[in-house]
Amino acid sequence: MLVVGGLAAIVVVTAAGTATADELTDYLEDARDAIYSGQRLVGTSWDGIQSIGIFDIQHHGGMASVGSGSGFATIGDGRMHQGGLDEAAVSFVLHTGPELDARYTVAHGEATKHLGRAASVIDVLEAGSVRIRMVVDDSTAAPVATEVFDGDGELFRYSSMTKFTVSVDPAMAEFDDREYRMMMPLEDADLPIELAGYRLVDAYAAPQDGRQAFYTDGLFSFSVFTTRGRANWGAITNNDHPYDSNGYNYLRVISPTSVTVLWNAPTTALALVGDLPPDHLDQVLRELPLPGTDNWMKRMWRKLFGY
Amino acid sequence: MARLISDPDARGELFSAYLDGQLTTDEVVVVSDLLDGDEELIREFRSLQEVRRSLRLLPEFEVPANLLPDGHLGDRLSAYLDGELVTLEHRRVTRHLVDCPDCRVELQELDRARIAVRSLPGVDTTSTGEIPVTPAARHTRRYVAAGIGAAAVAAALVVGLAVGNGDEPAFSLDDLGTRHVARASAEPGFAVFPASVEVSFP
Repeated sequence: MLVVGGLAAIVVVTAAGTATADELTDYLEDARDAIYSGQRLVGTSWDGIQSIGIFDIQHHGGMASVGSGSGFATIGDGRMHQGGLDEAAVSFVLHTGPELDARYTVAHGEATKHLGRAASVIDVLEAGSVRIRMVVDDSTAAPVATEVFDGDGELFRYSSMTKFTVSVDPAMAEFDDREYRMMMPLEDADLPIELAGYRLVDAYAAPQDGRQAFYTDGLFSFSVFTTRGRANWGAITNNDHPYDSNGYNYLRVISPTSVTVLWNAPTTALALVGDLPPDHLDQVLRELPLPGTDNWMKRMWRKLFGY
Repeated sequence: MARLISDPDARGELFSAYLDGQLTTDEVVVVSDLLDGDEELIREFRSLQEVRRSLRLLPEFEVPANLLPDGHLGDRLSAYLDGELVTLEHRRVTRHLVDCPDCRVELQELDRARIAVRSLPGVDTTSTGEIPVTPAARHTRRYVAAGIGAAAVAAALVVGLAVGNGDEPAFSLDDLGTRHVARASAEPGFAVFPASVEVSFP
Protein backbone atom coordinates (compact mmCIF):
# COMPACT_ATOMS: atom_id res chain seq x y z
CA MET A 1 0.00 0.00 0.00
CA LEU A 2 2.82 2.34 0.90
CA VAL A 3 4.65 1.44 -2.31
CA VAL A 4 1.56 2.16 -4.37
CA GLY A 5 1.10 5.45 -2.55
CA GLY A 6 4.73 6.35 -3.16
CA LEU A 7 4.50 5.60 -6.87
CA ALA A 8 1.33 7.63 -7.15
CA ALA A 9 3.07 10.52 -5.45
CA ILE A 10 5.95 10.34 -7.95
CA VAL A 11 3.50 10.39 -10.85
CA VAL A 12 1.82 13.39 -9.25
CA VAL A 13 5.10 15.28 -8.88
CA THR A 14 5.93 14.66 -12.53
CA ALA A 15 2.56 15.39 -14.01
CA ALA A 16 1.01 18.04 -11.87
CA GLY A 17 3.33 19.43 -9.24
CA THR A 18 3.98 18.64 -5.63
CA ALA A 19 1.24 18.54 -3.08
CA THR A 20 0.64 16.88 0.22
CA ALA A 21 -2.35 15.70 2.15
CA ASP A 22 -1.67 18.60 4.52
CA GLU A 23 -2.36 20.98 1.67
CA LEU A 24 -5.74 19.38 1.14
CA THR A 25 -6.42 19.82 4.84
CA ASP A 26 -5.35 23.47 4.51
CA TYR A 27 -7.69 23.92 1.58
CA LEU A 28 -10.59 22.34 3.45
CA GLU A 29 -9.96 24.63 6.41
CA ASP A 30 -9.80 27.68 4.16
CA ALA A 31 -13.01 26.57 2.46
CA ARG A 32 -14.68 26.46 5.86
CA ASP A 33 -13.97 30.20 6.26
CA ALA A 34 -15.04 31.10 2.73
CA ILE A 35 -17.69 33.77 2.21
CA TYR A 36 -19.93 33.23 -0.80
CA SER A 37 -23.45 32.71 -2.01
CA GLY A 38 -25.07 31.41 -5.14
CA GLN A 39 -26.62 28.31 -6.55
CA ARG A 40 -25.10 24.85 -6.69
CA LEU A 41 -26.14 22.10 -9.08
CA VAL A 42 -25.47 18.66 -7.57
CA GLY A 43 -26.08 15.26 -9.11
CA THR A 44 -25.42 11.59 -8.48
CA SER A 45 -25.39 9.07 -11.29
CA TRP A 46 -25.28 5.39 -10.39
CA ASP A 47 -26.22 2.37 -12.50
CA GLY A 48 -28.25 4.63 -14.76
CA ILE A 49 -30.18 6.14 -11.85
CA GLN A 50 -29.92 9.93 -11.75
CA SER A 51 -30.66 12.21 -8.83
CA ILE A 52 -30.14 15.89 -9.46
CA GLY A 53 -30.90 18.95 -7.37
CA ILE A 54 -30.23 22.64 -7.27
CA PHE A 55 -29.43 24.22 -3.92
CA ASP A 56 -29.43 27.91 -3.10
CA ILE A 57 -26.47 28.32 -0.81
CA GLN A 58 -25.12 30.99 1.52
CA HIS A 59 -21.83 30.29 3.22
CA HIS A 60 -19.78 32.08 5.84
CA GLY A 61 -18.04 31.37 9.11
CA GLY A 62 -18.21 27.61 8.69
CA MET A 63 -21.99 27.59 8.28
CA ALA A 64 -23.92 26.88 5.10
CA SER A 65 -27.55 27.76 4.55
CA VAL A 66 -29.07 25.75 1.75
CA GLY A 67 -32.45 25.57 0.10
CA SER A 68 -35.23 28.10 0.18
CA GLY A 69 -38.63 28.65 1.78
CA SER A 70 -39.83 25.73 3.85
CA GLY A 71 -36.93 23.60 2.68
CA PHE A 72 -34.38 25.88 4.24
CA ALA A 73 -31.61 24.34 6.35
CA THR A 74 -28.59 25.77 8.10
CA ILE A 75 -25.71 23.39 8.60
CA GLY A 76 -22.23 23.49 10.08
CA ASP A 77 -20.08 22.84 13.13
CA GLY A 78 -21.97 19.65 13.83
CA ARG A 79 -25.36 21.32 14.03
CA MET A 80 -28.26 21.56 11.68
CA HIS A 81 -31.51 23.43 11.78
CA GLN A 82 -34.08 22.55 9.18
CA GLY A 83 -36.70 25.21 8.56
CA GLY A 84 -40.31 24.21 8.60
CA LEU A 85 -39.80 21.33 10.98
CA ASP A 86 -40.06 21.36 14.73
CA GLU A 87 -37.05 19.22 15.22
CA ALA A 88 -33.51 20.54 15.05
CA ALA A 89 -30.61 18.20 15.45
CA VAL A 90 -27.12 18.79 16.66
CA SER A 91 -24.11 16.66 17.27
CA PHE A 92 -21.01 17.80 19.04
CA VAL A 93 -17.60 16.34 18.83
CA LEU A 94 -14.93 15.97 21.46
CA HIS A 95 -12.13 15.02 19.13
CA THR A 96 -9.89 16.63 16.59
CA GLY A 97 -10.78 15.84 13.01
CA PRO A 98 -9.28 12.64 11.63
CA GLU A 99 -6.47 12.99 9.12
CA LEU A 100 -6.81 12.09 5.48
CA ASP A 101 -6.41 8.34 5.05
CA ALA A 102 -3.00 7.25 3.74
CA ARG A 103 -4.59 5.74 0.62
CA TYR A 104 -5.08 9.24 -0.78
CA THR A 105 -2.52 11.54 -2.35
CA VAL A 106 -3.11 15.08 -3.53
CA ALA A 107 -2.06 16.86 -6.71
CA HIS A 108 -2.38 20.43 -7.83
CA GLY A 109 -3.55 20.59 -11.41
CA GLU A 110 -3.66 23.46 -13.82
CA ALA A 111 -5.09 26.90 -13.30
CA THR A 112 -8.59 27.27 -14.70
CA LYS A 113 -11.63 29.53 -14.61
CA HIS A 114 -15.11 28.94 -13.29
CA LEU A 115 -17.88 31.44 -14.00
CA GLY A 116 -15.15 33.76 -15.24
CA ARG A 117 -13.27 33.67 -11.93
CA ALA A 118 -9.71 32.45 -11.45
CA ALA A 119 -9.67 28.96 -9.98
CA SER A 120 -7.34 26.01 -9.42
CA VAL A 121 -7.79 22.29 -9.84
CA ILE A 122 -6.99 19.95 -6.94
CA ASP A 123 -6.99 16.23 -7.60
CA VAL A 124 -7.24 13.66 -4.82
CA LEU A 125 -5.86 10.36 -6.08
CA GLU A 126 -6.34 6.84 -4.83
CA ALA A 127 -4.02 4.13 -6.14
CA GLY A 128 -2.95 6.42 -8.96
CA SER A 129 -6.47 7.22 -10.18
CA VAL A 130 -8.40 10.42 -9.58
CA ARG A 131 -11.00 9.90 -6.85
CA ILE A 132 -12.08 13.55 -6.50
CA ARG A 133 -11.36 16.51 -8.73
CA MET A 134 -12.08 19.84 -7.09
CA VAL A 135 -12.11 23.26 -8.67
CA VAL A 136 -11.35 25.85 -6.03
CA ASP A 137 -12.06 29.55 -6.39
CA ASP A 138 -8.71 31.29 -5.92
CA SER A 139 -10.09 34.33 -4.14
CA THR A 140 -12.38 32.71 -1.61
CA ALA A 141 -11.20 29.05 -1.44
CA ALA A 142 -14.81 28.06 -2.10
CA PRO A 143 -15.30 24.73 -3.86
CA VAL A 144 -16.96 25.86 -7.08
CA ALA A 145 -17.02 22.45 -8.77
CA THR A 146 -16.31 18.86 -7.76
CA GLU A 147 -16.33 15.50 -9.49
CA VAL A 148 -16.27 12.19 -7.62
CA PHE A 149 -15.30 9.04 -9.53
CA ASP A 150 -16.06 5.43 -8.73
CA GLY A 151 -13.49 2.64 -8.78
CA ASP A 152 -13.82 2.21 -12.55
CA GLY A 153 -13.10 5.86 -13.19
CA GLU A 154 -16.74 6.60 -14.03
CA LEU A 155 -18.24 9.88 -12.84
CA PHE A 156 -20.39 9.12 -9.81
CA ARG A 157 -21.21 12.54 -8.37
CA TYR A 158 -20.68 16.10 -9.51
CA SER A 159 -21.43 19.57 -8.28
CA SER A 160 -21.00 22.97 -9.83
CA MET A 161 -21.79 26.48 -8.71
CA THR A 162 -24.05 27.91 -11.41
CA LYS A 163 -24.25 31.32 -9.75
CA PHE A 164 -21.54 32.69 -7.51
CA THR A 165 -21.02 35.96 -5.66
CA VAL A 166 -18.79 36.99 -2.78
CA SER A 167 -21.57 38.09 -0.48
CA VAL A 168 -23.93 36.81 2.17
CA ASP A 169 -27.47 37.50 3.21
CA PRO A 170 -27.70 38.95 6.75
CA ALA A 171 -30.86 36.90 7.25
CA MET A 172 -28.67 33.83 7.46
CA ALA A 173 -28.20 34.40 11.19
CA GLU A 174 -31.91 34.10 11.96
CA PHE A 175 -31.72 30.43 12.83
CA ASP A 176 -29.81 31.30 15.99
CA ASP A 177 -32.94 31.79 18.06
CA ARG A 178 -33.69 28.08 17.88
CA GLU A 179 -32.93 25.52 20.54
CA TYR A 180 -31.09 22.40 19.50
CA ARG A 181 -31.43 18.84 20.64
CA MET A 182 -27.99 17.82 21.82
CA MET A 183 -26.57 14.46 20.91
CA MET A 184 -24.08 13.19 23.46
CA PRO A 185 -21.59 10.61 22.23
CA LEU A 186 -21.98 7.09 23.59
CA GLU A 187 -19.12 5.13 25.04
CA ASP A 188 -19.32 2.29 22.52
CA ALA A 189 -20.91 1.68 19.15
CA ASP A 190 -21.13 -2.13 18.98
CA LEU A 191 -19.61 -1.88 15.53
CA PRO A 192 -16.03 -2.31 14.27
CA ILE A 193 -13.60 0.55 14.94
CA GLU A 194 -12.56 0.40 11.30
CA LEU A 195 -14.49 -0.53 8.17
CA ALA A 196 -12.58 -0.77 4.88
CA GLY A 197 -10.27 2.11 5.78
CA TYR A 198 -12.99 4.24 7.39
CA ARG A 199 -12.47 4.96 11.08
CA LEU A 200 -15.21 4.96 13.69
CA VAL A 201 -15.13 8.44 15.17
CA ASP A 202 -18.08 8.45 17.55
CA ALA A 203 -21.53 7.02 18.15
CA TYR A 204 -24.86 8.43 19.29
CA ALA A 205 -28.27 7.25 20.34
CA ALA A 206 -30.61 6.88 17.36
CA PRO A 207 -34.37 6.36 16.89
CA GLN A 208 -36.08 3.23 18.21
CA ASP A 209 -33.39 2.55 20.83
CA GLY A 210 -30.90 2.33 18.03
CA ARG A 211 -27.44 3.71 17.46
CA GLN A 212 -25.73 5.95 14.99
CA ALA A 213 -22.05 5.20 14.36
CA PHE A 214 -20.15 7.83 12.40
CA TYR A 215 -17.21 6.82 10.19
CA THR A 216 -14.86 8.86 8.01
CA ASP A 217 -11.59 8.49 6.14
CA GLY A 218 -11.01 12.25 6.11
CA LEU A 219 -12.56 12.60 2.65
CA PHE A 220 -15.86 10.70 2.64
CA SER A 221 -18.07 9.86 5.58
CA PHE A 222 -21.08 7.78 6.50
CA SER A 223 -23.32 6.91 9.43
CA VAL A 224 -24.50 3.39 10.17
CA PHE A 225 -27.84 3.30 11.99
CA THR A 226 -28.64 0.06 13.77
CA THR A 227 -31.70 -1.00 15.66
CA ARG A 228 -32.64 -4.35 17.12
CA GLY A 229 -35.05 -6.50 15.17
CA ARG A 230 -36.13 -6.23 11.58
CA ALA A 231 -37.57 -3.23 9.77
CA ASN A 232 -39.96 -3.03 6.89
CA TRP A 233 -37.84 -0.48 5.06
CA GLY A 234 -40.05 -0.52 2.00
CA ALA A 235 -42.82 1.03 4.10
CA ILE A 236 -40.96 4.32 4.63
CA THR A 237 -39.65 4.96 1.17
CA ASN A 238 -41.16 4.91 -2.28
CA ASN A 239 -38.10 5.74 -4.32
CA ASP A 240 -35.83 2.89 -3.37
CA HIS A 241 -33.99 0.74 -5.88
CA PRO A 242 -32.73 -2.82 -5.42
CA TYR A 243 -29.00 -3.06 -5.01
CA ASP A 244 -26.84 -6.17 -5.25
CA SER A 245 -23.56 -5.91 -3.39
CA ASN A 246 -21.20 -8.84 -2.91
CA GLY A 247 -24.05 -11.19 -3.85
CA TYR A 248 -26.46 -9.85 -1.23
CA ASN A 249 -29.63 -7.82 -1.75
CA TYR A 250 -30.08 -4.33 -0.33
CA LEU A 251 -32.33 -1.35 -0.96
CA ARG A 252 -30.79 1.99 -1.87
CA VAL A 253 -32.19 5.50 -2.00
CA ILE A 254 -30.15 7.90 -4.09
CA SER A 255 -30.26 11.64 -3.46
CA PRO A 256 -28.12 14.34 -5.09
CA THR A 257 -25.47 14.48 -2.37
CA SER A 258 -25.77 11.13 -0.61
CA VAL A 259 -26.85 7.52 -0.80
CA THR A 260 -28.87 5.56 1.76
CA VAL A 261 -28.61 1.76 1.87
CA LEU A 262 -31.19 -0.25 3.84
CA TRP A 263 -31.22 -3.89 4.87
CA ASN A 264 -32.05 -6.40 7.57
CA ALA A 265 -29.48 -8.69 9.12
CA PRO A 266 -30.83 -11.65 11.12
CA THR A 267 -31.08 -9.72 14.39
CA THR A 268 -30.56 -6.10 13.35
CA ALA A 269 -32.08 -3.55 11.01
CA LEU A 270 -29.42 -1.39 9.41
CA ALA A 271 -29.30 1.83 7.39
CA LEU A 272 -26.15 3.40 5.98
CA VAL A 273 -26.26 7.08 4.99
CA GLY A 274 -23.23 8.69 3.39
CA ASP A 275 -21.42 10.14 0.42
CA LEU A 276 -18.97 7.35 -0.26
CA PRO A 277 -18.52 6.09 -3.83
CA PRO A 278 -19.91 2.69 -4.90
CA ASP A 279 -16.67 0.70 -4.73
CA HIS A 280 -15.98 1.96 -1.21
CA LEU A 281 -19.59 1.22 -0.31
CA ASP A 282 -19.22 -2.40 -1.46
CA GLN A 283 -16.11 -2.80 0.70
CA VAL A 284 -17.83 -1.31 3.73
CA LEU A 285 -20.97 -3.43 3.34
CA ARG A 286 -18.84 -6.56 3.17
CA GLU A 287 -17.61 -5.85 6.70
CA LEU A 288 -20.99 -5.03 8.23
CA PRO A 289 -23.63 -7.59 9.25
CA LEU A 290 -24.91 -9.14 6.02
CA PRO A 291 -28.53 -9.32 4.89
CA GLY A 292 -30.25 -12.48 6.00
CA THR A 293 -32.98 -14.05 8.05
CA ASP A 294 -33.07 -16.52 10.88
CA ASN A 295 -35.05 -19.68 10.54
CA TRP A 296 -38.73 -19.72 11.42
CA MET A 297 -38.25 -21.03 14.97
CA LYS A 298 -35.62 -18.44 15.85
CA ARG A 299 -37.81 -15.63 14.54
CA MET A 300 -40.77 -16.86 16.55
CA TRP A 301 -38.62 -17.19 19.69
CA ARG A 302 -37.27 -13.65 19.26
CA LYS A 303 -40.72 -12.25 18.59
CA LEU A 304 -42.15 -13.94 21.68
CA PHE A 305 -39.30 -13.43 24.12
CA GLY A 306 -37.27 -10.62 22.61
CA TYR A 307 -33.87 -12.30 22.48
CA MET B 1 -16.52 51.55 8.71
CA ALA B 2 -14.54 53.40 6.03
CA ARG B 3 -11.70 53.71 8.56
CA LEU B 4 -11.60 49.93 8.84
CA ILE B 5 -11.14 49.59 5.11
CA SER B 6 -8.26 52.04 4.90
CA ASP B 7 -6.43 51.15 8.10
CA PRO B 8 -4.43 47.92 7.60
CA ASP B 9 -4.26 47.15 11.33
CA ALA B 10 -7.96 47.58 11.89
CA ARG B 11 -8.64 45.59 8.74
CA GLY B 12 -6.42 42.79 10.06
CA GLU B 13 -8.39 42.82 13.29
CA LEU B 14 -11.63 42.61 11.34
CA PHE B 15 -10.39 39.62 9.33
CA SER B 16 -9.06 37.98 12.46
CA ALA B 17 -12.36 38.48 14.25
CA TYR B 18 -14.16 36.91 11.29
CA LEU B 19 -11.91 33.85 11.42
CA ASP B 20 -12.57 33.62 15.16
CA GLY B 21 -16.30 33.72 14.48
CA GLN B 22 -16.71 36.91 16.48
CA LEU B 23 -18.40 39.19 13.98
CA THR B 24 -22.01 40.16 13.72
CA THR B 25 -23.74 39.32 10.47
CA ASP B 26 -23.57 42.95 9.35
CA GLU B 27 -19.81 42.95 9.93
CA VAL B 28 -19.52 39.73 7.92
CA VAL B 29 -21.18 41.57 5.06
CA VAL B 30 -18.46 44.23 5.36
CA VAL B 31 -15.79 41.53 5.18
CA SER B 32 -17.39 40.00 2.11
CA ASP B 33 -17.51 43.44 0.46
CA LEU B 34 -13.82 43.89 1.19
CA LEU B 35 -12.98 40.53 -0.33
CA ASP B 36 -15.10 40.95 -3.42
CA GLY B 37 -12.68 41.57 -6.24
CA ASP B 38 -9.89 43.37 -4.37
CA GLU B 39 -6.92 41.09 -5.02
CA GLU B 40 -4.68 42.83 -2.51
CA LEU B 41 -7.17 42.41 0.31
CA ILE B 42 -7.84 38.82 -0.71
CA ARG B 43 -4.09 38.09 -0.44
CA GLU B 44 -4.06 39.77 2.96
CA PHE B 45 -6.97 37.59 4.12
CA ARG B 46 -5.48 34.36 2.79
CA SER B 47 -2.07 35.10 4.33
CA LEU B 48 -3.77 35.64 7.68
CA GLN B 49 -5.35 32.20 7.30
CA GLU B 50 -1.88 30.73 6.68
CA VAL B 51 -0.43 32.44 9.73
CA ARG B 52 -3.22 31.08 11.90
CA ARG B 53 -2.62 27.57 10.57
CA SER B 54 1.09 27.89 11.33
CA LEU B 55 0.34 28.99 14.86
CA ARG B 56 -1.84 25.96 15.38
CA LEU B 57 1.09 23.71 14.44
CA LEU B 58 3.33 25.12 17.15
CA PRO B 59 4.01 22.70 20.03
CA GLU B 60 1.55 23.02 22.87
CA PHE B 61 2.62 23.15 26.47
CA GLU B 62 0.28 22.01 29.15
CA VAL B 63 -0.14 24.66 31.78
CA PRO B 64 -1.01 23.38 35.27
CA ALA B 65 -4.65 24.07 36.01
CA ASN B 66 -3.80 25.97 39.18
CA LEU B 67 -1.84 28.53 37.17
CA LEU B 68 -4.68 29.21 34.79
CA PRO B 69 -7.38 31.77 35.38
CA ASP B 70 -10.76 30.17 35.99
CA GLY B 71 -11.59 29.77 32.34
CA HIS B 72 -13.90 26.81 32.69
CA LEU B 73 -17.37 26.79 31.27
CA GLY B 74 -19.48 26.61 34.41
CA ASP B 75 -23.14 27.40 33.77
CA ARG B 76 -22.61 27.50 30.03
CA LEU B 77 -22.26 23.71 30.05
CA SER B 78 -25.89 23.41 31.06
CA ALA B 79 -27.01 25.82 28.35
CA TYR B 80 -24.84 23.89 25.90
CA LEU B 81 -26.49 20.64 26.87
CA ASP B 82 -29.88 22.28 26.48
CA GLY B 83 -28.98 23.37 22.94
CA GLU B 84 -29.59 26.99 23.89
CA LEU B 85 -26.34 28.56 22.75
CA VAL B 86 -26.14 30.67 19.61
CA THR B 87 -23.68 29.60 16.96
CA LEU B 88 -20.71 31.68 18.04
CA GLU B 89 -21.03 30.66 21.67
CA HIS B 90 -21.65 27.05 20.68
CA ARG B 91 -18.43 27.08 18.67
CA ARG B 92 -16.41 28.56 21.54
CA VAL B 93 -17.77 26.04 24.02
CA THR B 94 -17.11 23.14 21.64
CA ARG B 95 -13.52 24.30 21.09
CA HIS B 96 -13.00 24.61 24.82
CA LEU B 97 -14.38 21.11 25.36
CA VAL B 98 -11.92 19.69 22.85
CA ASP B 99 -9.01 21.07 24.89
CA CYS B 100 -10.31 20.81 28.44
CA PRO B 101 -10.65 17.34 29.99
CA ASP B 102 -12.10 18.82 33.20
CA CYS B 103 -15.02 20.38 31.36
CA ARG B 104 -15.57 17.22 29.35
CA VAL B 105 -15.87 15.22 32.55
CA GLU B 106 -18.20 17.83 34.01
CA LEU B 107 -20.35 17.76 30.89
CA GLN B 108 -20.61 13.98 30.98
CA GLU B 109 -21.55 14.06 34.67
CA LEU B 110 -24.13 16.71 33.96
CA ASP B 111 -25.57 14.61 31.14
CA ARG B 112 -25.72 11.52 33.35
CA ALA B 113 -27.55 13.49 36.01
CA ARG B 114 -30.05 14.76 33.46
CA ILE B 115 -30.66 11.26 32.12
CA ALA B 116 -31.23 10.03 35.67
CA VAL B 117 -33.74 12.80 36.32
CA ARG B 118 -35.52 12.13 33.05
CA SER B 119 -35.81 8.45 33.86
CA LEU B 120 -37.68 9.12 37.11
CA PRO B 121 -41.39 8.27 36.99
CA GLY B 122 -43.51 11.24 35.99
CA VAL B 123 -45.08 13.10 38.89
CA ASP B 124 -48.10 15.29 38.37
CA THR B 125 -47.98 18.02 41.00
CA THR B 126 -51.58 19.07 40.81
CA SER B 127 -53.25 21.32 43.36
CA THR B 128 -54.28 18.35 45.46
CA GLY B 129 -50.70 17.33 45.90
CA GLU B 130 -51.65 13.74 45.22
CA ILE B 131 -49.45 11.60 43.10
CA PRO B 132 -51.60 9.97 40.44
CA VAL B 133 -51.13 6.28 40.02
CA THR B 134 -52.12 3.98 37.23
CA PRO B 135 -55.28 2.07 38.21
CA ALA B 136 -54.58 -1.53 39.00
CA ALA B 137 -55.69 -4.01 36.42
CA ARG B 138 -59.12 -5.36 37.02
CA HIS B 139 -59.17 -9.01 37.88
CA THR B 140 -62.37 -9.90 36.12
CA ARG B 141 -61.84 -13.39 34.89
CA ARG B 142 -63.26 -13.88 31.49
CA TYR B 143 -61.64 -17.10 30.52
CA VAL B 144 -63.57 -17.63 27.31
CA ALA B 145 -62.88 -14.15 25.93
CA ALA B 146 -59.25 -14.33 26.95
CA GLY B 147 -58.85 -17.70 25.34
CA ILE B 148 -60.33 -16.51 22.07
CA GLY B 149 -58.17 -13.39 22.20
CA ALA B 150 -55.02 -15.38 22.88
CA ALA B 151 -55.78 -17.73 20.02
CA ALA B 152 -56.33 -14.79 17.67
CA VAL B 153 -53.06 -13.15 18.75
CA ALA B 154 -51.17 -16.41 18.30
CA ALA B 155 -52.64 -16.91 14.85
CA ALA B 156 -51.80 -13.36 13.84
CA LEU B 157 -48.28 -13.80 15.19
CA VAL B 158 -47.73 -17.00 13.27
CA VAL B 159 -49.02 -15.42 10.05
CA GLY B 160 -46.89 -12.33 10.69
CA LEU B 161 -43.78 -14.38 11.25
CA ALA B 162 -44.43 -16.46 8.20
CA VAL B 163 -45.08 -13.69 5.71
CA GLY B 164 -44.11 -10.44 7.45
CA ASN B 165 -41.10 -8.33 6.58
CA GLY B 166 -40.46 -6.71 9.94
CA ASP B 167 -42.03 -3.72 11.66
CA GLU B 168 -42.47 -0.38 10.01
CA PRO B 169 -39.77 1.88 11.49
CA ALA B 170 -41.04 4.66 13.71
CA PHE B 171 -38.86 7.23 11.97
CA SER B 172 -38.26 8.54 8.49
CA LEU B 173 -35.33 8.44 6.12
CA ASP B 174 -35.25 12.24 6.40
CA ASP B 175 -34.63 11.83 10.12
CA LEU B 176 -31.65 9.57 9.48
CA GLY B 177 -30.40 11.94 6.80
CA THR B 178 -30.70 14.92 9.14
CA ARG B 179 -28.70 13.16 11.83
CA HIS B 180 -25.98 12.19 9.40
CA VAL B 181 -25.76 15.63 7.78
CA ALA B 182 -25.59 17.33 11.18
CA ARG B 183 -22.80 15.07 12.36
CA ALA B 184 -20.89 15.18 9.06
CA SER B 185 -20.96 18.99 9.10
CA ALA B 186 -18.45 18.96 11.95
CA GLU B 187 -15.86 17.64 9.51
CA PRO B 188 -13.94 20.04 7.25
CA GLY B 189 -15.11 20.08 3.66
CA PHE B 190 -18.48 18.50 4.28
CA ALA B 191 -20.64 18.55 1.17
CA VAL B 192 -23.68 16.51 2.15
CA PHE B 193 -26.97 18.36 2.17
CA PRO B 194 -30.34 17.08 3.30
CA ALA B 195 -32.29 15.80 0.34
CA SER B 196 -35.43 17.62 1.45
CA VAL B 197 -34.06 21.14 0.85
CA GLU B 198 -33.22 21.05 -2.83
CA VAL B 199 -34.92 23.81 -4.76
CA SER B 200 -35.95 22.25 -8.03
CA PHE B 201 -34.82 20.52 -11.12
CA PRO B 202 -33.83 23.13 -13.75
